[in-house]
Amino acid sequence: MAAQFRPTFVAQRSLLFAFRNLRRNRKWRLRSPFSDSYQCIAWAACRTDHKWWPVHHTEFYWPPNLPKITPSPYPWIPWPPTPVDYLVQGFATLGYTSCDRREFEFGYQKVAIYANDGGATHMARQRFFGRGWLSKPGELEDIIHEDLSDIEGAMAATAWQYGQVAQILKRSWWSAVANLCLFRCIWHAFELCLYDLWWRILKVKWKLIPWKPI
Amino acid sequence: MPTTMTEFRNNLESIEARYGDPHQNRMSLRHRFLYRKDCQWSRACSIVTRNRNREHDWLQRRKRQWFLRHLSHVIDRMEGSLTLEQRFREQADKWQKETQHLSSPSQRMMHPSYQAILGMGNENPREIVSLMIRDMQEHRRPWFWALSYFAQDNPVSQSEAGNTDKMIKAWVNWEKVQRLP
Repeated sequence: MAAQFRPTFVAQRSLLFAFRNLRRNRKWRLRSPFSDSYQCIAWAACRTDHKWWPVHHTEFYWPPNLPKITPSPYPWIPWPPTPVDYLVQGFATLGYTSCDRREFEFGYQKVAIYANDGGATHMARQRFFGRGWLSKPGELEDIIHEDLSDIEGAMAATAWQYGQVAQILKRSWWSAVANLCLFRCIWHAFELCLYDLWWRILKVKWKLIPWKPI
Repeated sequence: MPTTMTEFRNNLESIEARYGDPHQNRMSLRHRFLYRKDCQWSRACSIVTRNRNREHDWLQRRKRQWFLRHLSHVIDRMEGSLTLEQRFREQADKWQKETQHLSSPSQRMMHPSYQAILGMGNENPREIVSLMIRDMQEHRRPWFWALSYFAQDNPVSQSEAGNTDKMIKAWVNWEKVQRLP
C-alpha cells in the first residue's frame, strides 16, 4: 500500500481546491495519508486493498455476477454513465438496502451515493453513532466531514465535481457483523487513530523544520 | 601673502565681493525654519520618487522575465523542440493535479489532458506504452485502461483486478517479456 504523509497544509490545500463547500464549513479534518490503493467505493465497503467500480475491465474490482458497465473499446470515447442502481446492487451483497433518511438511526450503518449528469461519482460512509461522514476523495487523503453537502458540487460531468447525493443505503449492525465489515471498520478505526497520532508527531516535526518549496 | 595693510584690505574686499559677507547674510529664524522644512519636503519627495522608480524598474524586470520565459515556451512549442516525454509529463502532471480528487474513472478519462495523451499515443503507441509503464512505476498514475488499448493486451488477471501494486507489477513484467525500448 503506497501511503504518503504529505504536509498538512498541502493536503488541506488540495482538498479545498477540489471542494468549495469545505471552505465554508470548518468542521472537517484529515484522517489518513495520501493513498492510491483504494478509492471512495472501496472505502464505503470498508476495503482498502482494491479499487471498486462496476466496469468490465480489470482496473477495478467488483463483486462477481453483478451488472457492470461496458466501456467502448476505444479509450477516447467516454464511458457510458454508471447507473446508481449498479452501486445499489453491489452494496446489496454487503447487506445494504435503500433508505430515504440521511440522519443517524440507532442500530443502522448508512452510506450515501453521489451522482451527477455523468452517473454515479462518489460514496461516503457514516461514522459510528452518526459522528459525521467518512469520504475518500479519489487518491487524496480520507476526510471526516460533518455533512453530506460539504462535498456536493455542480451537476455537470465536466465540472470535475461530485454532483448531489442521489441515494442513501442502510444496513443493520447485525448485517455488518455477518459480513465481517464491522471488524474491518473497527480495525480501520484503530488504523486511523494510529495515523492521527503520526500526523500529530509529523506536525511537530514540520514546525521544527520549516517546509521550503524546491 | 599681503605684506601691507592696504593690500590686506583690498584682498579682504575682493573676498567679500566674491563670496559676500557671511555675517550680514544670515537668515532670520523664521526663514531658517521654512528653509529646513523645504529641505525635508524635497527630501521626502525624492525618496518617494526613488521608490517609485525602483518599483517601476522591478515591474519592468518582472515583465521582461515573464515575457522571455513564455516566449521561449511558445518558441519551443512552435519549433517542436519539446520531446514526447516532456509533453507526456506535462499533460500527466496536469491531469493528476486536476482530477486526483475524482473516483469516477469515466470522469477522469474525460479530462482534456488525458485525451491529449491518448492523441500522443495514436502517433507513436510503442513509445507511449513504455512511457506509461515507467510513469506508473515512478508516480503510480493509473494508465491501465489506455495501456490495454495501445498494447492490445491485458496482463492483469481477474484475481489481481483493482489491486494497484499487483497491476503495476503485472505491466512491468509484461514489458520485460515484450522487450519494449
